[in-house]
Amino acid sequence: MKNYINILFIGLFTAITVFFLTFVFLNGFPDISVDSHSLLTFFIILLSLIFSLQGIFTLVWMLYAWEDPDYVKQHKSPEEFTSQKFSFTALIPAKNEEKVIQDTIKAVNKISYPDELKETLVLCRIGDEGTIAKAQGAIREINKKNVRLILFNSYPINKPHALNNGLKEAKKEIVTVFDAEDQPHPDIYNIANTLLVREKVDVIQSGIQLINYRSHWFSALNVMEYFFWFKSGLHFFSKFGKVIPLGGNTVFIKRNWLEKIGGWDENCLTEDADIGFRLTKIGAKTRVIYDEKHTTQEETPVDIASFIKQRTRWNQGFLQIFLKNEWSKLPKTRQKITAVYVLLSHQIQTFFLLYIPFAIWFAFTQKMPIIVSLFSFVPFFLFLLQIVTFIVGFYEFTKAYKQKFTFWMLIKIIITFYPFQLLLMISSFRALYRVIFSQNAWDKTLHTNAHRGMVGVSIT
Amino acid sequence: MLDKLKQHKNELLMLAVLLIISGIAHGYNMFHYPYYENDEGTYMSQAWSLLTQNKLAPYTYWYDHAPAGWILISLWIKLTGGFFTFGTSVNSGRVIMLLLHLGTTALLFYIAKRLTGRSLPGIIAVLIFSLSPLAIYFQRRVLLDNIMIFWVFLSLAMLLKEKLKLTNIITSAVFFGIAVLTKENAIFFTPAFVYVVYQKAHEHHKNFAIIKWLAVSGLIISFYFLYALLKGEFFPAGFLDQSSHVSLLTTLYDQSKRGSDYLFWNRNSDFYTNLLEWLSRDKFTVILGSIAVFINILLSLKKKSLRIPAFFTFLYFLFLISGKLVIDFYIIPLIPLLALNMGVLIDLAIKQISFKKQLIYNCLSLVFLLAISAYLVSFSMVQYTKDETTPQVNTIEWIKNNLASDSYIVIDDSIYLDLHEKRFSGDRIFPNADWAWKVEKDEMLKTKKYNNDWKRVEYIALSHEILRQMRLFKNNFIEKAFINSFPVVEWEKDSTSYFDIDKYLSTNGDWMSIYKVKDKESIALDDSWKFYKENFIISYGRVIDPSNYSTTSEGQSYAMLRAVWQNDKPVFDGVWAWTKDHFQYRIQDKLFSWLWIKDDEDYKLGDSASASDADEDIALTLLFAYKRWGEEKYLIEAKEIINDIWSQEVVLINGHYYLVSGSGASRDDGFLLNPSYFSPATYRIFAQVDENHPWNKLADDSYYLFNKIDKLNNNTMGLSPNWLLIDKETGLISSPGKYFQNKDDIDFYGFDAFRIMWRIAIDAIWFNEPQAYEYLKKVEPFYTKEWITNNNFSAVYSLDGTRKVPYSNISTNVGALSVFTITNKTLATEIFNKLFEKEYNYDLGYWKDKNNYYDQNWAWFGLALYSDNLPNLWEKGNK
Repeated sequence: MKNYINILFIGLFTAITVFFLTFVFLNGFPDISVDSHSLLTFFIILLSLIFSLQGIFTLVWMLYAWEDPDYVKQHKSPEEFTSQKFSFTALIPAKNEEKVIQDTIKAVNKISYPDELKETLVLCRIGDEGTIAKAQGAIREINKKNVRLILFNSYPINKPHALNNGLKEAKKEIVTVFDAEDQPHPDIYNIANTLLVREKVDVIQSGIQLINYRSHWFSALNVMEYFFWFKSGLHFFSKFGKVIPLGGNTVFIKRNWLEKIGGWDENCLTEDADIGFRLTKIGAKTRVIYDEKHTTQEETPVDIASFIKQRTRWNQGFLQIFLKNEWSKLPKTRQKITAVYVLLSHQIQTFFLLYIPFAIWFAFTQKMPIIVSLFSFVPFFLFLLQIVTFIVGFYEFTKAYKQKFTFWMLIKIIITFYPFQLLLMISSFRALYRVIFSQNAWDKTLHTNAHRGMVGVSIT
Repeated sequence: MLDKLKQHKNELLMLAVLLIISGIAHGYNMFHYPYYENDEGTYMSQAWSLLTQNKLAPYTYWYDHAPAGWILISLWIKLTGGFFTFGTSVNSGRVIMLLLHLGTTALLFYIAKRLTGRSLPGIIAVLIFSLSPLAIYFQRRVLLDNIMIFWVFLSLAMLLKEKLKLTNIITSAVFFGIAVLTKENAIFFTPAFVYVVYQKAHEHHKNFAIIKWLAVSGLIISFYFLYALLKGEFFPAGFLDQSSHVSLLTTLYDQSKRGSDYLFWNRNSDFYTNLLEWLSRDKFTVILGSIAVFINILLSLKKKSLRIPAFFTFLYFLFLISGKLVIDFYIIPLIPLLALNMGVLIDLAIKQISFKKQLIYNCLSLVFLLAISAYLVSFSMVQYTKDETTPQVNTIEWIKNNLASDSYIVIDDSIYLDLHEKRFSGDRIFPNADWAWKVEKDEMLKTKKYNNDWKRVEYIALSHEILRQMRLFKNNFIEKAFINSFPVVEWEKDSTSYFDIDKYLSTNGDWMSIYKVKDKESIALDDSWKFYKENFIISYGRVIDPSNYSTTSEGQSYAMLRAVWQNDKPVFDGVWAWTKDHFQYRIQDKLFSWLWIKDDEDYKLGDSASASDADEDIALTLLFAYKRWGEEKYLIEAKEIINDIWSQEVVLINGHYYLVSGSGASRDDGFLLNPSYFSPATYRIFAQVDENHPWNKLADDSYYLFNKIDKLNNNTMGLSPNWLLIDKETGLISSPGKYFQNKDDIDFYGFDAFRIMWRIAIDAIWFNEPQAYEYLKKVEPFYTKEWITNNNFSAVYSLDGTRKVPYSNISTNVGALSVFTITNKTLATEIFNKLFEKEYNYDLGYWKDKNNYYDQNWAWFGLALYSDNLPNLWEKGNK
């Protein structure tokens, strides 16, 4: 029953906004009557208020990592490692990944940790011959007992199902996930072990960073999204909201907790985020770290279509989680609020960006009280601050990853900022559409190994 | 939090003591000193406009300043329950200035402490800032700079926090944005702020810190431009549209051109002039402070802690000396900065000479603190003792109690609000009290409300500021109103100002006065009298008719009448002296020969005979002069003349007295009479002076004559001819045509006879004489008919009412005006507007033909009668 109420809520919100914007757009404004005029003013105030709060809140979490210099140490990886106590099972789900799987298996194997305390499980579906062959090749080459290929033939065909199959085979205390194109840092187990020992946490999310910012026109901004999300946002939400959506990889979870909640939700498009909420719900303690030295590096989608597909899947997944209502069972109110915000923020941001040109247009063409017109500009100003934040953030990113910051990049970010937001908008609407019309197929992202060649040099 | 307070217990205690000192020094007597400056009222009015009218200013807002300052004031007003909680509206503003001053003081202490790590610099800085007479003088006032410097210091304090977070930096940027939106010149501090952010921000977030500080403050400031843009008032008028409107860009451009073009060291530059004023108020802070800044700049090359105070001060110095326009209160932001520099430097010096011995350091500190405080307090005490605002308060009260609510009053901004907002229920407000400089410069206001006519101004609440504006900006509009006004009430007893009202000079604002602008008729009377005496009176008192260069006793008498009514004793005495010297030499009597003419190059007596109208009018003016100026001699001289008029110019025929036309009026069978010489009102006054003759009977007999004229054959309209002959025996009246060479209008009503109406109207006004009303009522229908039919009057009529000439004349029109002034005020106004006012040149002061001596006189007499400006001075004297 609650599902329907939530769908109704999202639908109504969208419908009202779209209807309102279309209505005012079509109804030639100069002739508008006094009544609808004050209605308009009311809407402008309301929307400006909502979007101002959204704009401010977004800036707050984006900048959180830089708020207090004292945070720097807290967010970084530990400098010294404790003795190796916990054991790790790495799950590598792979489907049609023949290009990258070998490198990945080798990279995971290279993580410096005693062999008896770690195992690597490559998860493939029977029939994906290319990937299976390549994986077997790599395993043979390594020739260790603790690197294995797990094959399965059951349904559904998606990542959470693969992971659950891996979980069944996992023997070690901590389960971690790496995607087929990942390049984990060799110290990552030691880092996780140290935190697990020192801070007695149950879940660790380490930073994931897109790197190939020059590959496509939207890459830089996509890279920056990851940068702000993992470097800043997750810390913010974990500190103030006490709940975060986990990432798809470089996440370390105690196996007994996983088993307690019955593994990943195989019907969810963003099983990673979902499992974060569910673990928090039963009381698991989560820790976030982001250290440029130890982030797991990934690549941006290869083209606009895959970008939109990926983003649609995520948004759709978030909406699914929202509709599943699990968040309402989180113990604390602040956790509920945070969960709702995180799950819906993509949608809100979309309307935020959609609203800005309308607000400007209204302010200049409609006779509203001047204070309202001025107020309607606040979201726009916050949007400008977001661009500024992206630019400075990009500078920080290039510094941290020893890349060159050029004036041209700065211009590029400014030019591509709104078009990039349009891509997000499209994905967001697409996700909404798919949720409403119940299309749940999995759009898988295609990987080409672009991030490895590019930044191989810079990673030490 | 509590721990933190405990940890800083001593400092907080010290700060509390400092705030008390500061509060007393700033607050004691602050409602009385200094006088309410114009700008104080401006910002209070603008806060009022925001609260009550939803506008940024009571007049068209023209982007002279960004509005954050008065937005804050309006919040304060909301909080304290109205504008008059503390007395006048400016007082309310001064209370928030006190709070802001205390805030700035605390911030100054904090900033000094954070910069040096010690308390002494802060204590010194605060004492100087609080006790400096210069600071007190300006900081008490409701000025944007006082609000701005508070925000600047708050913004700076944010950046000096011990553990600087990004949020602190962004908050600092917000405060700085507000500072700029309060007073634009805060923008000059930007480089110093960027430097502080750069220096204080942690390496980890330095980039974000600098960029965010700039971006956030920039965006906040940009609201000002956005406001203009949304209002369509950003670009100059005519850039994107054709309508006329104010423009932010135009204002910025104009403001940048304001001020003198001299470089700052030039004695005529704004900076130099103001520097002298600042020095006169507080040499200590200005001179030693500047020296401290100079030394700090040099030392800061090595010593990092000095850089921030030195840099901030240096930038503001740069602004002051490079800007063309410097206003005295521009010093405000500099004072706490100078104090800060002195505090930091003195502390450094004491530290150096105390050889790291705490005891020596403490002793020296104490000596310094006492010395500075003692010097500053003893330098000037006026700020605690003097009352400069009472004249302004009195002005408000006087206007409230004495003027009509719809009066057009030109005022200082400083009393605007108290006149526009009810202070208590039932209080009167004055919607037409307007800022002087808006009346002068706001074309909309001037055109729409004042119709471009300075005569609409009824009162001027004259102040130091209004004089200053007239002196500096050549405010023609207000100046004209002022020239045509007279003081009604003044409050300047305790003023220390040097005055030269003629040069519009005043040196202090501790006085006020109310000037009433004369009504436009009075203005015309005054101006035309001025024109007349400058153009028609030559030598020491000879009235000349430019058409033939002759002088008549009539002309002299007219000048004397006007002079005594205008209260112009010098001219009166001059004309009277000339008249006596040249006309009053007849052996047999004290009467006046009537004509003085030009003979080639010389002038000489033209006719020694007297003219009775001039004689009686001169006698009357002397009586008036006696009453007005209280000199006995006038009365004695008047009595001699009156006595002789009776003996020489009044005849008794058949039981009735008649005033003959003069000493030469006698003809074979009768006397020449000019009915327009008969002045019953004059005779009633003579009767009070000369009890030996039956003057009252002559007054009555004048009406007897007029009634007799009525019965002449062809007289159907009740008009009188210019001249008559009266039979010596029978008293029969007839045409005297045979005795006149030029017979044209002898028997007609014209250039002589219209004066009857005027003289009878005076009898009606002065003595409420029933016969006068009766007579005027009788002739009224003729004039009414003429006016309705023709909308004008002919200069000459036959007694049956036939127009004898095709033209009108302003003198003869006075006849009709006189009749209607008594019988029908509406028609009188209509006639006045159409036949007189239109003919009057308000700029130069004359009617129609400026060389026509007769017209200039009679238009004046007509206007004076019409506007009730012909008092019976014998009755009223100088009242």
